[in-house]
Amino acid sequence: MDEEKQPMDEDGRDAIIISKVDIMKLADVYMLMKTDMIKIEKEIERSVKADHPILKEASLHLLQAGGKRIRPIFVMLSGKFGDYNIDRLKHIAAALELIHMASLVHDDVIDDAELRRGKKTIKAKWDNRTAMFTGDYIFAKAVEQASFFKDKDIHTVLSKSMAEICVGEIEQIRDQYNWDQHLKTYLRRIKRKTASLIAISCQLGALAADASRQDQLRLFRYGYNVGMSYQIIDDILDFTGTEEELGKPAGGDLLQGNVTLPVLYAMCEDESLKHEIHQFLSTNEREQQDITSVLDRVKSSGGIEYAHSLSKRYLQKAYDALEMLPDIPAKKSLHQIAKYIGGRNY
Amino acid sequence: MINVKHHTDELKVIEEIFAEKTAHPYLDVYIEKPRIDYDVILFLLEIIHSHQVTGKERREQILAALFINAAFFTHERVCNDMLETGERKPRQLTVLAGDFFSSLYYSMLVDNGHVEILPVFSHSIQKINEAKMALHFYEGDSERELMERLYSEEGTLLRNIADFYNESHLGTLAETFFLLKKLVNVRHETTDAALSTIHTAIYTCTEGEQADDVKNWPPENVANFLDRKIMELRQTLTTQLSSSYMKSTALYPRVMKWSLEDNRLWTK
Repeated sequence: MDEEKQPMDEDGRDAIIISKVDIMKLADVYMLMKTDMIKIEKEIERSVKADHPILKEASLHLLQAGGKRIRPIFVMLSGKFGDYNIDRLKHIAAALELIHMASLVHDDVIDDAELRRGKKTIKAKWDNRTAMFTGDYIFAKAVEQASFFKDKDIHTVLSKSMAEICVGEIEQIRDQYNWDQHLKTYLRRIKRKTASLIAISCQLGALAADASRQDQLRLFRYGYNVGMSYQIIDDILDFTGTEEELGKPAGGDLLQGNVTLPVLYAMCEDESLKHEIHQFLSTNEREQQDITSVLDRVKSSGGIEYAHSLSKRYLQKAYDALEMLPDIPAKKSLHQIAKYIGGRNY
Repeated sequence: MINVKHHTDELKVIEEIFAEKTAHPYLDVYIEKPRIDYDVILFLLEIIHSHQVTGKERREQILAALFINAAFFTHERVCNDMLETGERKPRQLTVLAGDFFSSLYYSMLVDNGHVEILPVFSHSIQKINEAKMALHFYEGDSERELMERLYSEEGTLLRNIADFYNESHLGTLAETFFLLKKLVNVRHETTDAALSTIHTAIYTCTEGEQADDVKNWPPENVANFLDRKIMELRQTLTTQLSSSYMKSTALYPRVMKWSLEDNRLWTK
């Protein structure tokens, strides 16, 4: 198949490989939502204009670096299943994108990252403290955007998700270098880390548009399963992608001690791999050939195929969740996005 | 006026919920537990007590304010210095712990139906971060600007909550009190560690140069500046406490004491 490699979301950790046809279909989805997306962009930009010049510059720095705005897209498409009003929905879309942005600013302090979306990170351009203040400021702006709504349910969903993302990241650090963890631990971690925010983007879009409870739940399920599939594929690509495709060296997760699904499966199949990885990571002078050897063992273990099959199962559940939704154009768009997100590198 | 016995019981309950909510088995290993500033509780009890809120609602709003303070306290510990690979984990968890505490204020307010007061909290956090940024990049231009930013950083949250409840006089008192308390603590610290944002801004203002760490804190000019400002704030506090209304509040003995002498961090 004619394939083209392109980052899906410029988070650094999100590079994926998709077909040209899927890219074109996705571009169509964006084109259809373009006018409303501009409104959301303007709302976010208005929101982060701080009084202090450096706080303003730092807040706009990340916003202007771009991004696919996949969460706002999910909010808008889900809003189509109810009483669609972009002047209401833009506040929830902005809140979710701001939460995502703020967590990226703090993630760069956590990862000591120099570059994001091809530009210097806030912590690299200024310093850690500037990044901390900026992230906290943007989080508060997200809550301010959400405050447009008086509906308690919207806030409850959002606040739970914010806590869940933090706990997910804390657990990721806790589970680093733990080679004996269970599949359930991995799945819970990626749910909190990635799937949760995508799931609530769909749910809140529907909720803010007063869609039926059933449709809210279906859209939540869709978002959750798409998010799970997405993260699993992302974890696969860390083993199978090249440095050029990923924007970082392959095996980066493993080097940081992050135990993802392919390696979890591989270690389960072959106990000696656990020992080899442990030895490799405890050596200060690592050779490129050593990581290549570990990556090759993971790839030949069947771990990649197993992860693909699990990702496919989540994707199928996402399609199933769409099944009972009314047949409107937004349903087709959600289907296309799921295909784009999950159908990679087969 | 607040019943003192009830007051003590309430402090205990707040303390327990705070400890329970901020506890995390993994964070607790690496992160210093956030402390409660009991004066924040005292002020908020006074600000809210005569209004149409239940005891439970009042407690939830106080806890939300304490979670915000915990988040600020924790994030203040993220410095700019370079770390070796092995030292990264505590910093990583410090960032995440602050975010976690911050998420607690939001859930505490929304889970219990305080959506009306939510913008007061989120707006205050924005303003405090504006002030922190201004202090961080302070270049020593004007002492007045420095003091405005310090007032803002230390007093914005209570000032805004007091305004929400139409208790502006208590908000003004809180601004003076918490800045005085902060400056007294900064004056008496003898740290050789990396300086906080406030330390750095005061140092820049008084010494005319910027520094990330200073041996033998406080240097002479800083000490003189702090002594002068502490004296001025004590005078302001005395004036603010002179009304018969203030004398009738449960805050009066505590705040009055601060207008006369150093009490520093208050533990029961």
